[in-house]
Amino acid sequence: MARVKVKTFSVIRDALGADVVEVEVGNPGTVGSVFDALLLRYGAALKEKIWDPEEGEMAPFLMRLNDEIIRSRFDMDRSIQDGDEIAIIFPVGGG
Amino acid sequence: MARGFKYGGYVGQLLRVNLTKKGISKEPLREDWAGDFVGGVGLAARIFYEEVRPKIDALGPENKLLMMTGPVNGTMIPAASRSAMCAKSPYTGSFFHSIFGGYLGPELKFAGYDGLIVEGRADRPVYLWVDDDRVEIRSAEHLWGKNPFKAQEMIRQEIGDEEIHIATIGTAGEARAPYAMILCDIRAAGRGGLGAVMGSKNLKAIVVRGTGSVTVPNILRVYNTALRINELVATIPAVKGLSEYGTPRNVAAMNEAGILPTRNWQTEVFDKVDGITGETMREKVVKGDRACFACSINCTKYSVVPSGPYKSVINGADYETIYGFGSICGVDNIEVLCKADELCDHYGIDLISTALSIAWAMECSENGIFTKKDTDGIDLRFGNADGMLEMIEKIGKGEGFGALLAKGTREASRIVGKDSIRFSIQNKGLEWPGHTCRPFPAAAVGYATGPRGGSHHDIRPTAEKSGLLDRKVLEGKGAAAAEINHWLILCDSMLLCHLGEPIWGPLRISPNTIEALNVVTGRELNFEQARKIAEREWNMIRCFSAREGFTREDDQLPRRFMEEPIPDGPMKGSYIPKETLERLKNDYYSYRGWDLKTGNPTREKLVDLGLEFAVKDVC
Repeated sequence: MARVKVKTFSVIRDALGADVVEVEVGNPGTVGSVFDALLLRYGAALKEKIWDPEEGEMAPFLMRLNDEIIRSRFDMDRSIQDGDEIAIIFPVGGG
Repeated sequence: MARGFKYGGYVGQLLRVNLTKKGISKEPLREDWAGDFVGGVGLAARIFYEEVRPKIDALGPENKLLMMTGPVNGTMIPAASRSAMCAKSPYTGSFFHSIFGGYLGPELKFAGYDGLIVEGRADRPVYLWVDDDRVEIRSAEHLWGKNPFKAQEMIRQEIGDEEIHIATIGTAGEARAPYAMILCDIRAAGRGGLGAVMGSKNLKAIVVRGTGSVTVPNILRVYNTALRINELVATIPAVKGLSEYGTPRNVAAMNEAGILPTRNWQTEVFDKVDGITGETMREKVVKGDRACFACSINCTKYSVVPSGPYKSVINGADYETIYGFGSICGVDNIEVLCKADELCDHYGIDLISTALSIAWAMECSENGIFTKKDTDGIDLRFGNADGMLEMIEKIGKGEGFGALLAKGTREASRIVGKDSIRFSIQNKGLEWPGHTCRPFPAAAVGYATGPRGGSHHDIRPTAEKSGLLDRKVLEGKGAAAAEINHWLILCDSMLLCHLGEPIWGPLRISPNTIEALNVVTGRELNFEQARKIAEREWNMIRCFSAREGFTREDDQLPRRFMEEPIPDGPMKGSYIPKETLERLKNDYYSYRGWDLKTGNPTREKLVDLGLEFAVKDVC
């Protein structure tokens, strides 16, 4: 199994109840499998924060996978390894 | 709809006030202009082009100040209660619109006007009292010298009505300080020095009470659209998150992405961010939420620092406050930022230009261009919170070293020399908001070509910042920027709020925007027709700039963004070299059908858009 740290902010942090949570996925897993694990654990409270019902898909946002910036709508199949860290850079915009 | 007017949502009437002649007139709104330019900023640009001669003194009586509404203002559709102050900017020299939320715009429509045109100059301080049909120019001698909130309080007492809505300038506007703003109730038309335009007219305040209503052709259609848009507000993640944290939700996330501008943009990662995040702000100072007319987003926070040296009460802080006085000046205390915000409102100065001017001075000091002797004994180090607050006071009063900073960074750099322009983070003279373009090419060309310069409301970096557009690709970014311009300018003509960008945009004019316009006005516009209106509006504003003498050479970025890659963090190495910008500009002008050499619209483009009258000025 791969243990992955997930860092979040504002409304997503509130849904998860902590700045950083850890999830376990198959090794090697994908970014998508990390989200599957998160949704399994946090259910609707998380889904409503990241799922766009208008578009019928995940809201668009950036993520930091270790030192690299990746995209929610295009990079869910990126592989992850044990010890990786993902930061969900969402929501941004406005201001 | 108003009796006899072709479209719903409009009153069909403009109010014109000539302060020189003390003349007040009501005139019909031209139906053809409402059709071709919708309202708000688009309509203001058309009126301005028609009525204002080229190259006037922006602080002279020949400049006009327009306060505009849009057809959707005052209806039940949410995120649609903005209003626009428009004039030739004394700060940038371009046609400028500064948009604010709240209640004033809808109130003006309820009073019976789609827009207000103020011209001339009063010989003594006055304020304008619009009480439905009854309009008076009243003495403001007793209000002159008062801060905006005090002036508002005195006017409310004088008129005996707590429900009136008021746009006021502070002492900076009275003194025609270059980046003075207009406080509209608790909101700000902050940018571009339009408070100085108001001050130059000896106009302290615009006060409005309206008891009428907005009429639409089919109220059930409007109701259904409003219901649907409210549902989107409640469910689209990027919009509904604003209710809880407001725009400061951006702070920590953007820092994590390496795009939180820091220490005058020397880097885009702030190592002390924990003290100024939206989460910290909510925990320490936020006491409640405030919403604009008919809006369910509730983005504005009401914050209180109850005691101590930074005691303050503000509506905010917004992201731009936190960026400007926080990471940009290296300050990590949210209470200080509340105090800084309060001081800017107190004097009536634009907080972005204020913060960037102080940060410019901090970097100049860091590089030996200024010593404490130059800065009135204030130690302008990054992170010196009290020094920053002292300097805001000096800028507000136009006193000592603050008088230099009150000119803004472009002019201050010109005066000081010593290549200090390299620390001036502006284009076309307007200091930058807290949304970077160094990793984002569409945003870069949008900022560079925008009529106002450093405005994230002529372009939105959100498409690249959210990953909807691939930031690493250059191809097609000219077209992307142009289509983002279009949804923004159509919103600014309807006076929709850009915080609803996933609803109204974010890549092009959305079906929601067109639906809102159609149900209110009774028009049946399709995408191509709506897009053509937006393109016409954008070209109209570009024609004004061209007529003023702006050219392709003015479409630049701050030097730092073209010469200095982001030095650390996840976006390390990102920047927009000059040759890349020129390539992006070619792409953008080509897509727009503009002349590559001058950057001006071509004759063919103007004819196609029905702007033939501008050919003689710009081709």
